Amino acid sequence: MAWRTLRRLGAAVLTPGAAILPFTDELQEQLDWLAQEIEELGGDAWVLPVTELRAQEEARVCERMRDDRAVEYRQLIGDAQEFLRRAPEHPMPGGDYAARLRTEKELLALQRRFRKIRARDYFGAPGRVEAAGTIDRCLAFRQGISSKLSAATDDHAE
Amino acid sequence: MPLHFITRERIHVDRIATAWAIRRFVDPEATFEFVPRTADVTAMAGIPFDVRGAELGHHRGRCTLEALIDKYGLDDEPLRRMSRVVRAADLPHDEPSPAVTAGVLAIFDGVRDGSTSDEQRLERGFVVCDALYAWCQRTASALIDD
Repeated sequence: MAWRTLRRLGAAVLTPGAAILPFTDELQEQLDWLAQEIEELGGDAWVLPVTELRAQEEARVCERMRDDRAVEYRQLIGDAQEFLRRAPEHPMPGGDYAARLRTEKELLALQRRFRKIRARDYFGAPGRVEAAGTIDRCLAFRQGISSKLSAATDDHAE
Repeated sequence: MPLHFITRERIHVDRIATAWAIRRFVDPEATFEFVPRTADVTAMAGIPFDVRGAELGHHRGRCTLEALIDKYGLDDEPLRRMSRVVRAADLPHDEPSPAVTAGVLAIFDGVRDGSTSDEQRLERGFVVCDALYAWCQRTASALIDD
């Protein structure tokens, strides 16, 4: 549970039991709540501000986070390409509603995944632009059912 | 004697909305104090909120405004709807969030970063909360639970 939350926030695991995140008000608060949750479950948790890192250490942490995100973008791009390969099966607007809804939900899921990875991509990992572009190519198959679908390249990629 | 509440400084959406709800529904004269995250609030005179370990805090995935509603038994449907938006803005959840969440968060980010003191954040944030509450009074729950 706690590790799932840390993964969602994009924390890099340093050694078993220790994870690190860049400093922001929001992330520190998330860690405080997570620590409270662990304590409520009888565990032991520390939120320790890191005041200083050697340049090489900092570079290693950033590299680790970038690598983690790059893997996530890579998997997302793979799934989006798989969606595109199934293009002939996707319903046309005006087709069977259940099928259209399925396609729309698949698109929403792809977009939601991109936004989540993007939100924890603190150091501009490779794959972000390609992932946004691939998701947007998938949007050509949108069914006009959900108002939540919008181009990923618009506001989420640099 | 008005109630005195203590919370972490650099207040944001959940702390602002909770303070707003305290004034509006619990004690119109309530006073607020803002302390560093590292302060030991258990040693201070006042009711802590949105602080690690406090009763008025985050519990089981719910936000501090919801804890306030529970503790004081605030039976108000628009407030409940508003708390749903506040929770979504304050807690990164896996579940789908109300459509307005991103906009609400952007406004409160601006209140936090564009103000020079927590007193100013409170004053400006209260205006936003009045507006959000008015919207929640008129907007069907289905839209908010989107």
